[in-house]
Amino acid sequence: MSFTKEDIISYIAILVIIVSMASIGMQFTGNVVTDEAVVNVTVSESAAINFTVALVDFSSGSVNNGSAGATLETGVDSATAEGTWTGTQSALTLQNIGNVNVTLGLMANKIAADYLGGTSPTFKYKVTDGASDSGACVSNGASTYTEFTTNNAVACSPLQFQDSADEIDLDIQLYIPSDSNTGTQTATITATGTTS
Amino acid sequence: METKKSVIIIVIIAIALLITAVSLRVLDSNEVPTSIDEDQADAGAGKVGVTIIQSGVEDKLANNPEGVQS
Repeated sequence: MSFTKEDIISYIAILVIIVSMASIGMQFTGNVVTDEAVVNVTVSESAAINFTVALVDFSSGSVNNGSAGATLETGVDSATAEGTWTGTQSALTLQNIGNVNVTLGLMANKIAADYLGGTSPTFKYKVTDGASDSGACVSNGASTYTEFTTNNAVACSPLQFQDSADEIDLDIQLYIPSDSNTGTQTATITATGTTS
Repeated sequence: METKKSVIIIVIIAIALLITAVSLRVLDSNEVPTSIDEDQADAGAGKVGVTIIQSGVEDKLANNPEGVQS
């Protein structure tokens, strides 16, 4: 008994048909030895940051007579800095409330000359980790007082999102010269978080 | 000739069923889709306010003896 080439090809094709149909049958009927259930969930990345303390109000005061200017600083009693502003102001607080690290940029709507006026005013900020959030700001670009600009400046790269390390303090320092603008002066600070 | 035709038909059917079976297996695989989007978030705005009162003017004449002219 000998097989021709056509016979061999036919037998192989029939074998493939049987195996394929068996496989398809198992797919549709579920008659398989083992089966797996899959729970599929997709968690999207969401970048979100929030000022939990959004206002520093140094209130009203004046430069002491005879002084060239007064330095006001969050966390420091202004009365000790050549001015009559009273009280101690808390720093701005910023929290990463998303689920992804963000590169944090900071900018103000006015530079010191426009905000305070006078001779050599300054309007600076300093970033520190929150009291219970050590390591929140990685690669701190403003670990010492840094002048605000109207362009976005990277402050943390990144600001982390884990609850144990997702909050920073933003201290503010003003130098108000004796010949500054008078009246109520307000500046707006914008924080932007970007994922990469 | 008839035999050849039959073989070709059987082979075509076999290939079609094989492709179907493999496709069903692949579609049932346990792939977990993931995606990364670039995202940007604003925190709202922080405000820094200060009210500056004009300093009192020192009376430099107060200590001058009366009638002394410079």
